[in-house]
Amino acid sequence: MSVSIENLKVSLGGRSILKGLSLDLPGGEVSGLIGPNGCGKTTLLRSIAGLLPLQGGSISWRHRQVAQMKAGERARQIAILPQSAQAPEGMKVADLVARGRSPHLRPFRPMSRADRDAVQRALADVGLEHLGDRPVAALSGGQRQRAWIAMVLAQDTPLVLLDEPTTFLDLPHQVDILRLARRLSTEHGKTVVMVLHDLNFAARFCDRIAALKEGQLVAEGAPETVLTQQTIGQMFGMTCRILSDPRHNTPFVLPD
Amino acid sequence: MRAAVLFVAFLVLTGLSLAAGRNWLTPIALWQGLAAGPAEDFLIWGLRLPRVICALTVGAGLGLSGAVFQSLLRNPLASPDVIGITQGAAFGAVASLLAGGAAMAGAWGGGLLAMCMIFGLSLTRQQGIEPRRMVLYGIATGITASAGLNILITRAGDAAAGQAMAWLAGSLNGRGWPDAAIAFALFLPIGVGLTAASRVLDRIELGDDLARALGTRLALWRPLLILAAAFLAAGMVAVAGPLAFVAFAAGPIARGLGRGGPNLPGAAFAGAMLVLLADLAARVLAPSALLPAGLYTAVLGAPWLIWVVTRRISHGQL
Ligand SMILES: Nc1ncnc2c1ncn2[C@@H]1O[C@H](COP(=O)(O)OP(=O)(O)OP(=O)(O)O)[C@@H](O)[C@H]1O
Ligand SMILES: [Mg+2]
Repeated sequence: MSVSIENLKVSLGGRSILKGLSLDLPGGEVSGLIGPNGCGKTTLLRSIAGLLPLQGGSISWRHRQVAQMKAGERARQIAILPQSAQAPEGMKVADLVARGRSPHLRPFRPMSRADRDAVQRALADVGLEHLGDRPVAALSGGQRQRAWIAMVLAQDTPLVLLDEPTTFLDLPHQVDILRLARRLSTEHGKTVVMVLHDLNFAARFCDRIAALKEGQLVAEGAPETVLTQQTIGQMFGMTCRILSDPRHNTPFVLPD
Repeated sequence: MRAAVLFVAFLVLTGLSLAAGRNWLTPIALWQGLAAGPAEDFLIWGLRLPRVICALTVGAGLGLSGAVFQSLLRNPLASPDVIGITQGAAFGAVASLLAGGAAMAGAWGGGLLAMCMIFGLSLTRQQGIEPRRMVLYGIATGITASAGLNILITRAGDAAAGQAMAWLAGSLNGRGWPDAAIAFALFLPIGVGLTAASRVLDRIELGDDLARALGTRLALWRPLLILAAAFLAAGMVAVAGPLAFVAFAAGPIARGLGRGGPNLPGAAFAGAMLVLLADLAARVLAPSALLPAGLYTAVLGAPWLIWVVTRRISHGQL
């Protein structure tokens, strides 16, 4: 188990948000976090990234406590795409993506050839290679989202955490990004954990799914075991029918 | 190419500053005076050169400090003259002047005291320094210091109040080698240190989460950089008084010149040019009135800033 979370307790602003959550996410796979607004998905992702103090429990990545990793080392292991990131004013797309290389740079040295290549590759991966010179502010919402994803890709870490990577994207670009997430796992052996709201995309693109409600785990496992009428009712208080996607054999949720 | 243009601008302005004054020097006379050395030419070596060096250093220090605050607090309005450090320094200087002490020590003390106050107020146990809190507490601190300053001035006698007002406008009149030396001794180490930390600022600008995810030890760097920038600003104000607008305008101007993102050398350069130009204006435009340079920094800086902002809006960068 690569990401191992045990009895995790996290509070924000004096309120207990995650209340003793245990979850194991296998390495090299794509895991999806689903659950209603405010249930603690972002909080869980930020905790895995080592950005929040833990009230109790532990999180480890490849058998090392995330809380105990040095800042620079952690930045070469774990990358996170926050839910709402804002680019500094006037910054160009390529410069933003280049920030992702900073954990790999040596102090006082400029970017190397390899760093610049990584930036170009990340831009190409999200289809923004022709917009590198544009200011981020002059992009559409979807292009901007892809620029941020490119920054995370440029960081080139074995663990990649994506908080709602498909918001703002049109349908083809949503599929592109989710395919890219799959490629990160199948071709590059990376571990990907992403928050998704679209249950059908989660079913199709994730190897496993963790369903959350009010800071607790409702169900966890392969999509067909998690996406049942019962779990969805428990999570969202909503009735639905579950079909089977005839082409991919994944569950397809049809709300009533 | 751009660097060359800026360098020529620097040389021309510096030369002009050395030549200008009640006695205008021809380029040849200027060159001969510089070549003659301090023992021979008191006008250049004893009066104008230290003043020019003072202007350049104070301007660079203010510009740098402003740019650092702006990117640390992710707010183009956050400069030492907006978040209360300059006001604290002004209060300290005038209090010290009225008590018969030196303005310089008072300014520095007041600036640092204001900094400590803002720092203490905006420090939270969970998140460390929180930028938005810091801007708000800073503005409040600045207003408090200004109110205190007004009380001091209204209660002082006419002569003392006049002296205080003269200092408050910010000026390089009568600044000599000791002032230049103090300014430079402060600017050099802090300036080099801050510029070396540019990459940290780069990341902090992306937001707390990303800065930390990219490996920045925020709890260490943010207070350290804030303190260094405040120390620098207070020191520069102590030497030349609160030159309005320099710290505020230098950052955006430098961003306009650079590629976006903090451009610390650019901000230092912009600040230095602003103050040099303002001092030149003070000496040339109305030499007998001896209007303070601080008046001209505002008059020059504001249109410059408007021009930069307008240009960037028209380029779709804002
Ligand atoms: N800084 C904070 N201080 C106090 N409470 C917070 C803070 N951030 C989030 N919360 C609360 O924590 C809970 C979980 O928030 P979180 O952002 O993890 O939800 P989420 O599952 O990601 O929701 P969404 O789907 O809307 O993104 C929410 O009830 C939210 O109000
Ligand atoms: Mg969220």
